[in-house]
Amino acid sequence: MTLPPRATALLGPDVILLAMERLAGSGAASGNAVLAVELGGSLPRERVERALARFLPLCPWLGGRLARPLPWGKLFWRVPARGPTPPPLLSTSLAADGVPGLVDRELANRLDPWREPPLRVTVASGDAGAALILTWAHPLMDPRGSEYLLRLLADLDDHPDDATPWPRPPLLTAPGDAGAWRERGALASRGAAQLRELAPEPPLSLAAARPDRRSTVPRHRRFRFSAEPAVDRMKASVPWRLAVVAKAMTAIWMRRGLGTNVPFLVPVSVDRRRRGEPGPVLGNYLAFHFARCPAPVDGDTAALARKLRADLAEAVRRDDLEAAWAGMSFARYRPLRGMFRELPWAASGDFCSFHFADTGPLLPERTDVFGVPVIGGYHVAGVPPRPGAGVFFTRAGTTENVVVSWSGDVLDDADADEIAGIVQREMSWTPV
Amino acid sequence: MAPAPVDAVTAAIVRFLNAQIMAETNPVAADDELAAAGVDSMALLKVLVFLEREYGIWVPDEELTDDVIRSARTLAAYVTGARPA
Repeated sequence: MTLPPRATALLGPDVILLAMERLAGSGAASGNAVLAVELGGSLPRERVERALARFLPLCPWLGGRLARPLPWGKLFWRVPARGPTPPPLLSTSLAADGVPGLVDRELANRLDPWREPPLRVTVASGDAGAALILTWAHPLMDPRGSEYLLRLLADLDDHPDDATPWPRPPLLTAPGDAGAWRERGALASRGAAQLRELAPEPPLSLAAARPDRRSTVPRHRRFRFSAEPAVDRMKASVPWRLAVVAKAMTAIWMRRGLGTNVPFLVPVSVDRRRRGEPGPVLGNYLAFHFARCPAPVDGDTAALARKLRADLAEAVRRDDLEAAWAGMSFARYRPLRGMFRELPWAASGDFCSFHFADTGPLLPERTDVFGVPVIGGYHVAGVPPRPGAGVFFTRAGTTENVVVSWSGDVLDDADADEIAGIVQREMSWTPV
Repeated sequence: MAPAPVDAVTAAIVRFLNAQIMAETNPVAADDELAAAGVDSMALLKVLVFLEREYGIWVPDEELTDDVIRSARTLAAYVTGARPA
């Protein structure tokens, strides 16, 4: 069965992230993001290859994804001579450093979306286990998108006969901007005003000196979660996890001697997809809400979680998230310098960001891919803009995965250990 | 103002959920478990703000128990049994 390719437009957040990468120039930081899926056996390469080949005709990247010309040049697939070059499928043996070592190398091996396909798939196996790694240039899709892509490939493998109807239609069409132009414009202006209000000055950098932006260091920890559903539900909420991250951030803050009277901003990415399906596979369907966190000096995480929940509720009441999204969407029509007018300090590239994301259960509907059991997995992001640091949660089966990642010398291993320790205590988890 | 009947509030919550939160292919019914349907903490906040706007009731943190937020109907029961702030 062949379905027509569908166009998926670049969205505002994509444009901003692409521009930030491009502004960094050649030899820039890797914008790679990684989905690492740990497997109970070796993947049959030919089945992955076959599914990838069958998926490509449906893939909107080749048709319309990057159709709008961008001021900083054509991305790889928009150059006619390069045509629809498929994403490469690589095979490698898993070295003694296992999946973490492979993830490190995938992060460091920068995909350049202007010169090569912005996605590659790696199958790996060896004495240290087996894994499937999806690596993509970050703005092309978000973590949910990568899971959806993998699910689509696995679904195709489940239905190898083209005559068999595909079990679910590909949901690849981006929703258009809702509402009248004038209304969207007013919302976008409000979004810009929020940014000015929240971040009139550059956030303080945790880096001791101008850092090397090219490196991203991830540290992965595994935990078991509480079996008590009510506690688990409460601690799975965004406000609680945000409070935990804020507490960890405060610990690092104090380690640097920056004082507890300095509030800091944590960008919270809120998934705008409708619930119950992952939505379009490509693009960042995330609205950014900047939570202004006071340092929780008294250590009362529950109180901070209540404050952050009230803050988020107020943002919902005032339509702030929608305004932030509309502001981002207008980045498609405005030159990047418009953004720098709102945040003048961003133009220097001299800023530090601290990120938080909770991507929830990994592949909840599947226990295997390509006939091989899934035994774990997690997301790793390169935390743009840089220098930056981030804490990312992914639940896979009965395991909670926490990845602390940073660029340059923003954090070090001792910081990562401290952050992981705080997360473990506040979430009432036990190490695996 | 007389409290709204549970069934009417339940129907209003279901309408809001299916119009604003849920995917078209994944609608919820009155007694479906919201968490199992994918209603996470951010989506729940939107529902709570809807209840506040429509019925003048804000569910405080300490009353956000599993019994209250289990389904559209249990939320409606809370709303019709509580007093506006």
